[in-house]
Amino acid sequence: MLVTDTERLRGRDVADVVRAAVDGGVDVVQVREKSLAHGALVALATRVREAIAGRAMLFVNGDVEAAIEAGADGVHLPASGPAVAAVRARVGDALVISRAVHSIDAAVGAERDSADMLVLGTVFPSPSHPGAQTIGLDGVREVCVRVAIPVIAIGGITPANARDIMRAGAAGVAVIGSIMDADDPRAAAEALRIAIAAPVGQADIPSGTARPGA
Amino acid sequence: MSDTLTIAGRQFRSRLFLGTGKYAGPEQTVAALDASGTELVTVAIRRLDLDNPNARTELDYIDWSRYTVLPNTAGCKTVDEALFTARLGRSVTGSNWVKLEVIPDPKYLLPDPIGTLRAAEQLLSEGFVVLPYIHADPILAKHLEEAGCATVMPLGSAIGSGQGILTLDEIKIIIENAKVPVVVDAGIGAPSDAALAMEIGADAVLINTAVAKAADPPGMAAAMRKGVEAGREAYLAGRIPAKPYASASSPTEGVAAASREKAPA
Repeated sequence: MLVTDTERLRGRDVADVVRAAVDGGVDVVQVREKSLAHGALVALATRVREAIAGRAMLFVNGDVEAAIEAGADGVHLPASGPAVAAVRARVGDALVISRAVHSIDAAVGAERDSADMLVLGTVFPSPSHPGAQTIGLDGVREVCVRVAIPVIAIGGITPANARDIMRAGAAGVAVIGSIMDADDPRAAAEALRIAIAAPVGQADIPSGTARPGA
Repeated sequence: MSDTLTIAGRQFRSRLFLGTGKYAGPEQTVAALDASGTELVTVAIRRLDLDNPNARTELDYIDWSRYTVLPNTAGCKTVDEALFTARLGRSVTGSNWVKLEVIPDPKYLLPDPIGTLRAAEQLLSEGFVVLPYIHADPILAKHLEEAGCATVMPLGSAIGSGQGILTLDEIKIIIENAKVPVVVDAGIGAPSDAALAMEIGADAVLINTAVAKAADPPGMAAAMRKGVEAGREAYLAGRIPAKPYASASSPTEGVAAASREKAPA
């Protein structure tokens, strides 16, 4: 999942960055812009949807009506945002509901309230969430064993740590900086895609296990 | 003969630009824009009503394909806020046009001349087409023009005040020296104000409150349209100068001689 941050565009068009990221394998784009008036958010999300051209899912952060009006696939609810149950009552099955969670209790509660997926953070220190308390791989493992719905991990995810995240039980990763700050968003997305899709291999076997011939 | 206005390569037949804030509701906005014949509307893209974050704004109602939609940096008090909002506006509209406002003062809503120049220079270097809102300062207007702005937009009087063109002399000086279009923006209250701006040679006017808060916004929009057209046609037709003495409309010489010739026998 790519979470957009227009402050990190560095003069590029958000539509171009999204297109490149989707070319590289991003399959969910979350439009997150808290400073925009409602109509402007709909316009932005619509432009992003057109750039995606059906090759990935579009989520809008926070504004359910904007998600509906922009023709998004889902709405992502921040931890401090509207309650999942209320949004579900509003949209029924028309939108996928994703919820940001930072704890086991929040995760369990969101699942009970019919969230379709969770974005769990902040896993590792992240410039996008300065000062946030991090939960590390243990935090990811603890939540993933408690809920059945997909858990996407966010917070300082890079190709170097993405595979560990998947092994901890996450269904996917969400990034801002790893793609937005890259000079080549497509390549950055590809690197992440490769990292999370890599099959478990020799290097993943815990080091304490006896090996033949040792 | 075509009297189109060209701004940054784009042509406009209407010299009336409208802001889209402060309307009572969407139907009024749409009807007023329609009645005005405008081809360019400004929109605030920032969330300004924090208590009601999902409130519908004018952006939800206007037909984006019908107008040049010009995002403005309304609500921005500093250079950094204006830069951020301008960049956001580019993401939202896909266009690099921006109406730049840097307004730190909430009482008079006066634009910060230095902040505006700094923000304009930065945005121009990022490839924006910048239309800056300023007090009617001829030197500032020149700096912004030389920096590369597409227009200058001097105020007639304070935003929303309806006081009309209080800066007439300064605007005349700006018009005299400008090589880019001059758009009089802010303070227009009635069509006579809009006509006056056009009569002295402004290239266009930008009006918001005078239409949005009129008792009948679409009616006022139609009237403003006529005011702008009348003022522009008068400018092109070349008005007479104002003189401090009378100049009779009919000749008085020769009348006495003719009446003497016709004296009854």
